[in-house]
Amino acid sequence: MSALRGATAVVGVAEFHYPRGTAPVGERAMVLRAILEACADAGISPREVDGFCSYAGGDNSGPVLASELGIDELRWSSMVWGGGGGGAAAAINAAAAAIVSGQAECVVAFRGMSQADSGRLGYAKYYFDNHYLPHGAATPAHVCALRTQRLLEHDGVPASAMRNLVLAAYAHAQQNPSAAAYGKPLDEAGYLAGAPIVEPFRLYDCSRENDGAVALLLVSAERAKRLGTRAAHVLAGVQGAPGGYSARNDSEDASIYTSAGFGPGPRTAGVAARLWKQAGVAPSEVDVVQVYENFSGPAVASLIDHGLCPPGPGAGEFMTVENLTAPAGRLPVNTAGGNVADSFVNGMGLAVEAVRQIRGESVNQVTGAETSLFIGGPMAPLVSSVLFGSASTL
Amino acid sequence: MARPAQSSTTLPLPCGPASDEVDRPYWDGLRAGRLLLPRCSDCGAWREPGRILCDGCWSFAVDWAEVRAAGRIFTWIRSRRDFMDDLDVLAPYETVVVALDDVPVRLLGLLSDDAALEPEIGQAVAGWIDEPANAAWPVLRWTREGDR
Repeated sequence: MSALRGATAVVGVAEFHYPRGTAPVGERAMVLRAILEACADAGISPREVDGFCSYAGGDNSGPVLASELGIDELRWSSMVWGGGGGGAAAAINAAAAAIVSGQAECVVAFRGMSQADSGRLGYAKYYFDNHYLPHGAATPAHVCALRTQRLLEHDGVPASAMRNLVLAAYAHAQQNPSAAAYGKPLDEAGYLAGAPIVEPFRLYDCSRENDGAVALLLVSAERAKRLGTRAAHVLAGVQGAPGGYSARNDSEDASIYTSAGFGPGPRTAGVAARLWKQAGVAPSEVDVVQVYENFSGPAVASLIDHGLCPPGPGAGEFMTVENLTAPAGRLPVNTAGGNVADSFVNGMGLAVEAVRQIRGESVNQVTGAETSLFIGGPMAPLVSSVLFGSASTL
Repeated sequence: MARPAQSSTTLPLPCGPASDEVDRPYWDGLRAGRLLLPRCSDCGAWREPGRILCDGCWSFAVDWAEVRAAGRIFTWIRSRRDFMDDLDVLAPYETVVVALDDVPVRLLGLLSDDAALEPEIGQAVAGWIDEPANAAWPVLRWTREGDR
């Protein structure tokens, strides 16, 4: 248990997205709209917002947003340092930490993305150095594929685990009118017909990229209670990685190579172990999971790292479409469609869906969901996850 | 699908020492036909090129020692899209992480042999030094053929 447990809650959410490159306005305008909508959802005036947390960079810092919004006072502005989408949950955790420590009272965790403002396509020269680029390794797909191939071939995780994660997401998206794959169901044959991108990844193993913005508004648990909304309490939040786990994946300890970054390291129990310890919750007690799929393989590794799915060949028996599908599956995953079938605003839309499950508002609602896990971007040099709970879990 | 190699639009291949030159002996070694890797002067631990500090004893001191370019495939991927065709890296191509036989270091590189031969983890590979026309420095490639 920790000071964080149950002390804060998400009381307002907003998310919207467009096909990549088609946003009618810029990133800042989208972020501001998301923040206003999250405030309206919570019934809190935007003037009261006093903190801003984000991840993966961008120009929309706390002071910039504070000025636009005309808030009463800025008390907190933080960016998760490193890890790109791996820091998605960590931004929420930072908001919770700011509130718990008395630094701020009403903090928004957000992400906005538009191809026009911060184009992510093409090979990322800023990220991969001359020990990667001459060898055709130029994108996150390459680095994640390298780890995933060993997860499959060495650890014995069947490729069906990746496929079924994708098929479950597509099944969920058929109930989500705002999902990119709404009305476009995917079966096994369709999945296998997807063009190979970087083996072992096919087209449908890969995340979408969208323009859009997402915001989550956090306040103290006491204030959440006064608001009278069905709040998603932060039961635990963690970030990090075992020492030596990094994007430079060529010489780290072999035992952590196929981890998504949440698993135990050579000398510590790891990121996910900290989450369960903080929350006082066991993996078997989680009702529903939103897991960031930059690619399907790293998402499977995330579930393994969190103890939600058996490692090795056993992953194949667990990762069936039936088990992963709401409302009755053993572990419904990515119930709005996830990054592959709904939308991708650097994965933060998944956090909103995790909150919706606690509020009972998902289009694929898991009956009686009391604990809801959001796992941020896997196989990044820094990863993060956050466990939400209903009031009954406090 | 692929653009022709060495056309007028070919860009220089990113290669050569980092701006802080911390890995310069690696690149100088390739130019001299040798694989040189950094080794801690104090405790003898091997590093990968580019690392400044020994993570075992925190020494900055380093020697560069010649290592046999031989190892086994630790993991591999096959790129099927033209991610880098403007650099004349044409799809499909295979990239391997090689666990070196003689030192506990892994190196990433292109697999340059028979594309019909499916890669497998554990396969033995040997390094050879390539000098692409659009590269200012030599680069290390890997093959499952040839003299080991």
